[in-house]
Amino acid sequence: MRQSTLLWAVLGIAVVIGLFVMKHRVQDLEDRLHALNAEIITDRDAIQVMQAEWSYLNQPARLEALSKRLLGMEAPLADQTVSMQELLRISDPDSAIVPPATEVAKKKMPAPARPATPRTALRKVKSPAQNPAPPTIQGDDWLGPILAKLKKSQ
Amino acid sequence: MIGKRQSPPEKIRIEGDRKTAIETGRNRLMVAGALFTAAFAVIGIRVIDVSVFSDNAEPRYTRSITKDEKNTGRADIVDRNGILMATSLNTASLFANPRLVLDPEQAALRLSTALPDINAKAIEKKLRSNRGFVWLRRHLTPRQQYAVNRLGIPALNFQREARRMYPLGPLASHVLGFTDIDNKGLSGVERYFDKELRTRQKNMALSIDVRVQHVLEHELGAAMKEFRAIGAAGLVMDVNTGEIVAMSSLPSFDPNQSGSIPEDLRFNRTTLGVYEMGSTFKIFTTAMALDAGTVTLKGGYDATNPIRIARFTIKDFHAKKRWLSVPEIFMYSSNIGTVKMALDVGISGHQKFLARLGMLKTLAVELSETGAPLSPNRWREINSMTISFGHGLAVSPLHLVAGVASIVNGGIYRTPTLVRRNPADVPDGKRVISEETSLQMRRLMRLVVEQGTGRKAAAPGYLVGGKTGTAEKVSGRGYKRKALISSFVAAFPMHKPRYVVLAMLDEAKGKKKTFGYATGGWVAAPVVGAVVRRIAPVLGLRPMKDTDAARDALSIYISEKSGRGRRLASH
Repeated sequence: MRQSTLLWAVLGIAVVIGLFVMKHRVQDLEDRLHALNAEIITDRDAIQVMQAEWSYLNQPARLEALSKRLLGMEAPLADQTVSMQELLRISDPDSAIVPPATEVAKKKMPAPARPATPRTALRKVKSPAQNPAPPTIQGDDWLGPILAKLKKSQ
Repeated sequence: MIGKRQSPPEKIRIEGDRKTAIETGRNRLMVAGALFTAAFAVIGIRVIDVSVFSDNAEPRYTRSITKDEKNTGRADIVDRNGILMATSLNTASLFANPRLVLDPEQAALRLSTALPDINAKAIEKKLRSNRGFVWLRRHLTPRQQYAVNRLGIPALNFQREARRMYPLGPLASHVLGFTDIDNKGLSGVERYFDKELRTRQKNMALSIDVRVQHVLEHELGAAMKEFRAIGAAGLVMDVNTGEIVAMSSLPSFDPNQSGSIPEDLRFNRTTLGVYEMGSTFKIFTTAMALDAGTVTLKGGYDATNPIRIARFTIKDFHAKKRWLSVPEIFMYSSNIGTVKMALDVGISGHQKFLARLGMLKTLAVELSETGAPLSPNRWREINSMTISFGHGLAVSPLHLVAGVASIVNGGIYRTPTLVRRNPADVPDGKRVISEETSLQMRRLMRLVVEQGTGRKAAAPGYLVGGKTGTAEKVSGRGYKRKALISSFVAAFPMHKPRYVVLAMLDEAKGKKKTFGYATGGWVAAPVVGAVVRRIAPVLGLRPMKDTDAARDALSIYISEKSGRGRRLASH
């Protein structure tokens, strides 16, 4: 009888201590979670502010004014727009990747007055790539030669 | 204990008073025991209930934030490409407890170095007041908050408040609308979707493309300034889905300054304003006549003499005073010919056709500002006659654009929308004219730009086709001769239309450059041309290098009375 009383007493104390430790651990974890949550909220606020700022800085009117003033860009004319396929058709397969663009620009625009015009042409070249549907050539893999060239130049 | 039981105690007899006392004691003990047992039973049952049967564990002190939980209250609005148009930011608002301020003068002075635009005197007065709480400045920017924090003035504190921000400024302001200081939507999409924006967790994607929107506003604004117009409206709509890609009403406002927007700037000319659109309505009249089969492209009407009916005389602005074929009627915008076309179809046919195009009822677009068309109560012959060339029926510019879209897209009417539609979710729409008629109308509209009144809308490589419209504004009981609504509605590319563009100027004044004219062909058509030239590459449309074939396909025979065909629009 004494032994069993002792056993129960020891067990009881062990459970109490265990519970105490566990409770403290949980509390610690919850404190940590609380702190992390606060941090997440602060970060999200910051991200939100940055997104708003990004949108603000990318106002089309502002970009237009900046690219006009700093880069000398103008709205492209119809004949300054070249698609990727046309570019490849015109370009010499042995030349590097960049010259064709300038070549096209020169060819397409009889009087390239500013040095900025080739850049305009280049910028517009990119525009078909932004379309959801990538340009396709029947049969030919149009991307192949470009990738091959890029590999060679590396 | 056991030993004691083996020898039972002697029986003691207790009687009299003592007996009753013991009885009472025993009863009381029983009652108390029963109460305690009951109490313990209740507690025990509750313990079992809580620990075994209840499924929520101990209430938690904190929980983790889910990934897409918002902490700003109102959902963001983005454009069709995901560019942020409206967002809620948690900002800090500065307040003070004046009782704790040690040196109000010094504090106000230092505060004015951090916030240069505040009035130091007024702040000092606030800080001297004997209150526990004063607002010093609502909604500081993070930078301002940092600057104020750096001052280290005691008794100043920040309160977090959500604030609606429109990072694109006045761009698309009439579409977005604005909210009040409590973030309640007061106009535009903000008002129409107010409830949804409050509860929604995800961004709301509009059909607007901010790049196109900018081009439209820019070009309209330039024209408005050039021709000293009091207002302008513009629309770009996807003809196949009914999505409004750009919608502009000028003058516009900055929705960030929601407290101080004058009433007249809030007016949305594209949806709330209803106007007699003038000759652009000839698109519908001609389409109706061609579709009904009362006339063909080879047919025509005599437009030699003005039509007199009741007290009105219907004349031609560009009078040719001869027999005109249908393409010529359309090209030269002949009122006389158009009236005759409408009369051949009949009054009820005309009315039904316009009803099918949605011209007679308010549009179900996602804005709270939508204007009901002003149509005649009783539709008589005179009404049909004037409506055929765009007078006597006032509709919003959006009505017109939705109608034109259905004419050029193969004949399917779809309700315009400001919310982005997945290509799979595009409604079937309802057929208003046949595909054949749609093709004929496209040719006619192309002809107007190629040879007629809309030549200034040409955009090389994009095959623009359209129709000019000039209407005198109603004032009181009559029309004002000098106050014009000049418009041009166009679609491009005409061989396979993708977008409808409308430009409308309110009370434009002619200039020397336009020989004093302020008609649609002179003031609005150039805007459409410029807009198309700029937005087509943005929208992924490549200019046609070799347009001759396409132009040939869109060309038209203009018959003369003599029967000899004259081919037009192929050069």
